[in-house]
Amino acid sequence: MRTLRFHRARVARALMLGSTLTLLGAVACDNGLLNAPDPDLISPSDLDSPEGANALRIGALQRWRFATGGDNTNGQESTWLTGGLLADEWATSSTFVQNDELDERRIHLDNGTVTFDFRKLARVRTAVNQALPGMYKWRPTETTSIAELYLARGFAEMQLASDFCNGIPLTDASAATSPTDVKWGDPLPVAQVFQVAIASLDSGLALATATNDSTVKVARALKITKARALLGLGGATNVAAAAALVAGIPTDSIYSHTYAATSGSNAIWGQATSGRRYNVGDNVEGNAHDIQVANNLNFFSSKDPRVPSRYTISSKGDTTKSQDGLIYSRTTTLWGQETPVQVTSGIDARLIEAEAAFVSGNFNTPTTGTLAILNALRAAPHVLGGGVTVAAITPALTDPGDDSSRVAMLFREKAFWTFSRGQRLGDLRRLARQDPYKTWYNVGNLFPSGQHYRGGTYGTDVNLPVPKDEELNNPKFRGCLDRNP
Amino acid sequence: MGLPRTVARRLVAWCVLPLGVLAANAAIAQAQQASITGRVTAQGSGEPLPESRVVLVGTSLFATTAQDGRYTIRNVPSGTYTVRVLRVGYEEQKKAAQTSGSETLTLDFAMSPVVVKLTEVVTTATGEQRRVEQGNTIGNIDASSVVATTAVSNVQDVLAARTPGVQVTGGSQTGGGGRVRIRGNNSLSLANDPIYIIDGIRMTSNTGSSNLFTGGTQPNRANDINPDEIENIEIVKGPSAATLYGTDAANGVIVITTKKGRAGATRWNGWAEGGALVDNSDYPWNYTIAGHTATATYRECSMPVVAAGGCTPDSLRTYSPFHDPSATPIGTGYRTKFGANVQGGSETLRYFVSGEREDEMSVLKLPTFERQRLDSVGTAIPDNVSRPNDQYKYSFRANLNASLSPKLDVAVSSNLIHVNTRFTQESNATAGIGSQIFGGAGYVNNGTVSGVGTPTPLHGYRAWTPGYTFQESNDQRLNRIIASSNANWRPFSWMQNRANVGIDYTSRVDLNLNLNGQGTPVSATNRLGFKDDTRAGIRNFSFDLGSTENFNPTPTLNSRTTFGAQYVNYQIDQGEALGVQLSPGSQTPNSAAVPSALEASTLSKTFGLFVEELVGYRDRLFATVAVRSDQNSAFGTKFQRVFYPKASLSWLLSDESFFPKPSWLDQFRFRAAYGAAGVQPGSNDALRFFSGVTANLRQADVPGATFTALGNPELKPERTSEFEGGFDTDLAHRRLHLELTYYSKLTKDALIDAILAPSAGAANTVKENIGSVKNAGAELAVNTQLYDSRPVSFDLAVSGSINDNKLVSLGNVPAQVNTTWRAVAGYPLFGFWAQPITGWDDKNGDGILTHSSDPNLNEVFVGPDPIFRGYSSPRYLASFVPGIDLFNHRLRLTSLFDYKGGYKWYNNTERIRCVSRQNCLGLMGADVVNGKLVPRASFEEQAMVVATRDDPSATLDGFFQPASFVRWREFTATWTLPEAWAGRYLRGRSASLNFAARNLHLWTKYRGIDPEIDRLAGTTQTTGANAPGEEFQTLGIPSYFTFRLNIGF
Repeated sequence: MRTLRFHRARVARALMLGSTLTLLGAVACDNGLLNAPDPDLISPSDLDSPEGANALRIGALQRWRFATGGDNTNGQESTWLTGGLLADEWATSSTFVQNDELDERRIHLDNGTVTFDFRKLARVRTAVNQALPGMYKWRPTETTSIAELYLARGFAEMQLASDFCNGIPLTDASAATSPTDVKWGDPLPVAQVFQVAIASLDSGLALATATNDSTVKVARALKITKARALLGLGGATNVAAAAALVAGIPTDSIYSHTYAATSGSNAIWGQATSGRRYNVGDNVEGNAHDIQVANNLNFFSSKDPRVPSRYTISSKGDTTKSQDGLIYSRTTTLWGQETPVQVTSGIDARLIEAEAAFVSGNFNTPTTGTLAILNALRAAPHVLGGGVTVAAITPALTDPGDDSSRVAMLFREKAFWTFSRGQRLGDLRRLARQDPYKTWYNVGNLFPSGQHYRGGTYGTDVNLPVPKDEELNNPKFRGCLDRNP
Repeated sequence: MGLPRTVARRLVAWCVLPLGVLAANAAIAQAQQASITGRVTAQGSGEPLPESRVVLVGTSLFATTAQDGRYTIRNVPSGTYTVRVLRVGYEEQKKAAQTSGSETLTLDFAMSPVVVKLTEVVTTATGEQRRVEQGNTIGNIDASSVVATTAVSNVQDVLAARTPGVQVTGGSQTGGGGRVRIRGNNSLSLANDPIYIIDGIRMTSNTGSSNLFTGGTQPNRANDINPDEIENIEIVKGPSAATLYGTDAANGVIVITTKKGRAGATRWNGWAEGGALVDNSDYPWNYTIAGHTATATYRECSMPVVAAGGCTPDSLRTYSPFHDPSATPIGTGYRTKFGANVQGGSETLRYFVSGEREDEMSVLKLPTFERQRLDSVGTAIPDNVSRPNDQYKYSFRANLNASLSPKLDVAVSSNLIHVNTRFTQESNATAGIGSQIFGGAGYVNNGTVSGVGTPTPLHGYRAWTPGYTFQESNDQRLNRIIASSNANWRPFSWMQNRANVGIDYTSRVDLNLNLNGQGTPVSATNRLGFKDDTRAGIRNFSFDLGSTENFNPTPTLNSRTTFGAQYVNYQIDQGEALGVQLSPGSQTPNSAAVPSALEASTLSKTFGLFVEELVGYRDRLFATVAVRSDQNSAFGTKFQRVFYPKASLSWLLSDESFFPKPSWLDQFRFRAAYGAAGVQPGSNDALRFFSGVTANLRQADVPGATFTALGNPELKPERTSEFEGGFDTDLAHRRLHLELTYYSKLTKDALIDAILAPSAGAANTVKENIGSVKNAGAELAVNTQLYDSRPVSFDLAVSGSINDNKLVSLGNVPAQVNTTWRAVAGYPLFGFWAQPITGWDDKNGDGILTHSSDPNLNEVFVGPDPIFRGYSSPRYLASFVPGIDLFNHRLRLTSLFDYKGGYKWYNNTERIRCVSRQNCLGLMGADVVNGKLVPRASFEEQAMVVATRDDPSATLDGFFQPASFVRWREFTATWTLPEAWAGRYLRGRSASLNFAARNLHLWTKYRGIDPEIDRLAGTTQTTGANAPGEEFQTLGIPSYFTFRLNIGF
């Protein structure tokens, strides 16, 4: 009996085991069981089409927009705010330590804002490099669109060179499918990065040859950006070529990045005006106006119409404070939530011509001299910021008499005309490193210094460091080559 | 969102086919079979013992005693058996039995009570097993007892400080979730939270489960479960025990078993609870040094500025709304709970039905001055403004257990939950209450709220007062159903088959509303109004099939083989409708000037197969080997399957003849185990993909695509292997039970969020399996009855644990540097790093420390390089739980003292007060005497401020503060009324009255408000769940005082 029971049991056990294992094996081989399609994702293969190429093109221009005026809705702070904070355009009024570091010119290598800015500009390059093959493959006749991509890449490279230290790596990860595929860049001197930018812009200029309005607009932006890169590469050496490049560009010509509340709002407005995290810079700080900031232009207190700015006073007489709850908020009305930012402007062209005139010794030359160009700009109304029309400015400028003062006048005018458009930091650096300006100017008489209103004194930084994350994770990068201007 | 049809079809096939095969096979074994019946009673009193488990050793046959203590085991084949009876609180008992033919054998058991009560059966991945057979220690919490006698609000309160090696930290708002860590942190980049199993199926336990912005506090879905419905909780601590739970189980498994019906007469139980919440935190004062300069008649100075001659001090101003009864937002909170359950049934059908309503209103309230302001202008004060943080819950449960035949048991569990929670912005929120109240000036008349039309007094708050902050509501409405069915089929005495199938489905609605004209002017558009309506469906479908076969080749050798399969299909579908700029009175996104919509999904699927072999020799030596293999949807395309092995040994040495057995030693068991388990990558971590974006180009919104993730086709799960060894012993006639365990676990293939150098212009990070992390430690648990007599008895439970955590390797990835913590090989995960403050010297003797770039003048010294400054989570955990029974055990008093030590906590509240708010003691705390400052702040307090504000290092070292503490966590007094009183006065069968207090007192040298405040406790992986805890403008942890009446009918 016992033998029979065991026999039956073994048969049943074998049947059970066999059938169950067969079933489980079948289940295990059923890949559908583990299929988990996620509608949030776009597969790279989905983009290998004319429509996909266009989507990547738009994505690349979106990345560029994130880097210029930023995008407050999508959490992309403007790189122009960062540079303006280190220079003198903006002063910190937030509770963020990373902004304090920038304003105080004591930037830590792990500063999150700077890291993000560097990544943001690099993302423009990557996005353009991902979009270009598709455009050439699927939309080769859309040369203006391709040229505009080169403009985006060249502009980002120019901005990197303008703001960051010597030793900027330009990496290519556009086709990488794993971390080991990334082609890491060597640290390049600023001059070399300007040359890379010029090469990108030349590629665009070669394509933007049509005469329709949109192509002309792109071509003008390419020229102005290339001219800025030429100035960065060598002011005195290249300024004539730069001026020649932009000659003829109408003063009212504007290439903008636009915003809409539905897709993303202007981050300069969002952070500075709406969030009250940045105050318009001034040479006097403190609620009691008793802390002098050496070298800082008086953007706020000058009441210059090119930087319309104000305190907000309540009906009870209280002054609105900034996000930090301590400092009176100084906001500008140059930008609104949905107003565009000017990436390039005909005013830039005139200012380049004015600089060329000075370098060539034509400060007082009628019509084409520096003073004449600057006064011509002041004499006419212009659209600045997000669409603010600035009436003629009086009085006209007069020759201050010596070259040092002439340079100061030229760059002060430029600072007010181009407020928070990503040019001021690069200009201060140029003044400190380029001939002929370094004859009269150095870091000590250019950058904000003295007591900082938050306590302590200003530090010594004159540019943005390539961040620590690059040093730790790019095998070819071991830090800035130097931190010189 | 229902169950996918394909999955449903497969499920039916999988469940029915094996059963069909077995049914066919069952015919083979039809024969005359015997029954064993009897009664289980307590020795001495003869009192029947329901819920005793009567097991036929070496078979799948068992029975559970009814209310009268009776049991029957049917279909017993002829043979010789050992019958074992297990019951909590009684010594295990065995008797031999011989059956033949169709006879009915009667076996009665009189069980000897033990002083120290332990659970003898544990729930494992392969079913219920005797604890003594396990090579692991498994934590067990008698949840029904804890809930009935202590002031717990949720499941995580039940878990806290009751099991060695288990750490729970929580948020401070009502409805907030916490972090649960078991035996340390295993992962740098993945979740370190345990998974939850409820009644055999996977339970959703997401951290940070909301789309609401609160600045900190977030709900945890584990806390939706009503603790009153839980019978017990088992904590499977590490991979050595959790192997068969597979991928996702490396951080431990929390196994929840809900209450079940018991055969017998219908029994009703009701309870009502009420109590108060108070906040006794020692909140800091705000300081302002008022002064002047040569050019300004009023200037707010600071000690360093005065010392540098930049300001002449006039007076020290001290204030905080916390300390002003008319301005404080801290009031008294309330808590109520009432519910009832009914249970009963027959041996063939048992039921448990329960319902409960629970309300908790936190201590936050609209301050008196704000109430008066609104009253004065005739403005109605809605609930969310008056009391901005509360929660109410409904929970209904019906559990049915049916014995359809002597061979087939079926159980169905269903739980319907409704939770409605209102949060307010706090902690890391610019407009939050914490930012305003901690950041205010040292005086009450500090101006008015601007940007709100008619400005109103700030009353010492920073920029906006609570009336504005509280106007923005953050509500979560949740409906959840957890349904599971369990079939247990024993076609033969040697075979047991089980199938668990269930679904945990949550419908979550997050509503963030700010009406037009309300809220703070945190941005230019905020008071134009907005509505953010997010609706998420969270589905967790799982099944678990298993078959266990017993085989006894010899009378002394038992074999049990289990094989099975598990499938988990998890999905979140989330849709968000956002509308910005509302018209007055409007509350819908579609009515807004700027509407937008977002969609997000997360999918994850795991399928696993396992087999386990347990061999028992002479019922004293048990060896287990097992292996599990998993496939997962998140693995990379080049990695298909992972294997997790397991082996364990449990040896009752005290039963061996060679083992010395002094009179004081009752039992000694040695145990050892090794096992591995994993944690899956994020659902999309392996993929290279782009994301759709909307770009505005030339004033038109157009769709585009941007590069989002680089991906990693080699991606596989983290794999944690663990060795555990130790012993259990019962001493002094079972008056003392002691467990000591050593463990060492190593996580390999640890997923590292490898930072992509920014120049790549890609995602910030990419996941790589390159790291390894080690945790090693020891755990001790002691339960003892020190004195026991009829009038008085005294018992004590002590537990302690120590954990050493180390990041062994980061692979080829460099150290990861964050603002407060670093990941550096050779150091603990998430440890604090900073340039150290090495000392200070008041060189000029003015009592004020200052920084100078001139070394001869500098008074605060900071080391040149960042170094490790301490663990960011406790290394040492201990609890001390004394209990006293008085008056013939009618009155029981217990306390729980909770110790955590060996770590630091980030006092980020004080940092921002010193750096940005400029109102902290170390910066401003100095009296003005004869025009000079006389600091109240110690040099240490000044040094930490100077080091972070003025020293070029900006080191945070001073704000990483020693955080060891002892908290008087619980006190309870439970009076069990005489049954005669219960009948006479309450018309009940039994009754007890309970007073419970929670978080009564804190002993610590921590400088902040509370070293348990953790603003990140409830956050998700991507928002900081692994980052060190910190207090950051976070309110304190409240104390609870509750009364509860339990009545049985």
